[in-house]
Amino acid sequence: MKEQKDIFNYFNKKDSDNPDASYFEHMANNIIEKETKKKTVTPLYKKPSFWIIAAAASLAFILVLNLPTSQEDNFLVALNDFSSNEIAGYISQNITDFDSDLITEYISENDIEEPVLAPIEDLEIIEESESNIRLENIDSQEILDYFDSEEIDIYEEDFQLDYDELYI
Amino acid sequence: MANPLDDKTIIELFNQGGANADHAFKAIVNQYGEQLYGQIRGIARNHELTNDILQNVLIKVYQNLSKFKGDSALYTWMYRITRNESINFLKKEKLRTGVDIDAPILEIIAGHDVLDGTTSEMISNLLQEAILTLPEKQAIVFHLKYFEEMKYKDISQKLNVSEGGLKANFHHAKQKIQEYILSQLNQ
Repeated sequence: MKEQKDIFNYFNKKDSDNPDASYFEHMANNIIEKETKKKTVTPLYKKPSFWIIAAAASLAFILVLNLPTSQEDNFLVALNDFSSNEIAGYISQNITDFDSDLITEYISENDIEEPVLAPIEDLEIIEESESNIRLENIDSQEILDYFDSEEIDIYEEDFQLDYDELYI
Repeated sequence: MANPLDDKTIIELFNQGGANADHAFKAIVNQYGEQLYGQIRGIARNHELTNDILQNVLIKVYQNLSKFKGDSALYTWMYRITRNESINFLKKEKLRTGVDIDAPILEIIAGHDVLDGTTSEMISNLLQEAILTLPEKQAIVFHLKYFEEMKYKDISQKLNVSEGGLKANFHHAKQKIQEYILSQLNQ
């Protein structure tokens, strides 16, 4: 049997230029310096002042959250403290130049009441009554009296009697 | 050069902190730095990379020495850190910069028919691959005996292992490396 040659006899190690002792000494000193610095730097969360400041900041934040955030909110909150009658009384006594535009600025769309329309049954009654109260069925004197009471001048130039408008 | 400190003294001094810890760490670097450098250099193949890896290794040693329980020799523990750090560092570095680490650590001597068609770079790479396949103890003994050319007596003191055990480990390591290299070249 052929003996296997020892492979290690057929290659040599190449000499690498290993650094001298001062290289290792320098490296050790560098690492000690760096690691010592790391140890002396206290993490922020370990400092008592950090927790005091954090507590104060949290308290301030909670207070801010509970305060009204704007002047408009202040105004609305104050209005809620008075009844509608009190407000109406104050306006009639103290505010002569009442500006409805200004008021509407503060009334949200949801707060505006829907106009109450007449029920359909009532409208039918009116329609029925139309036929009964036609112009030809009314006495002329009654018509003149009506114009009088409504202060309508039938002799004005731009007045044109529209019979359809005279339905009651 | 001051008298070398044994593992127990180094650890005790380090755990005392302050100047004693500094003294202990300097002793580690002084006693083991050159061997760790050689171990890394065998894998990294150039001084710049070796320097970076060694620095990382020694930082890890500094940061973790207080947790070292002494179950193995201090050098064995550092060898393990060095091997892992070298492999991981080079993996990242290869991905990042495509660094070429094929500078040979061996020269081929003519006469072996299997080695004739190979290059020094190829055989150097195969040797490093083969070392990585070895059990840790065999790899350490092989490194200290083959690359560092230490005497069995000194290795025995360093690793707290009997000389007979070291010889057996070295023999097995050489055999496994040879088998690995030949099997790779015969493929």
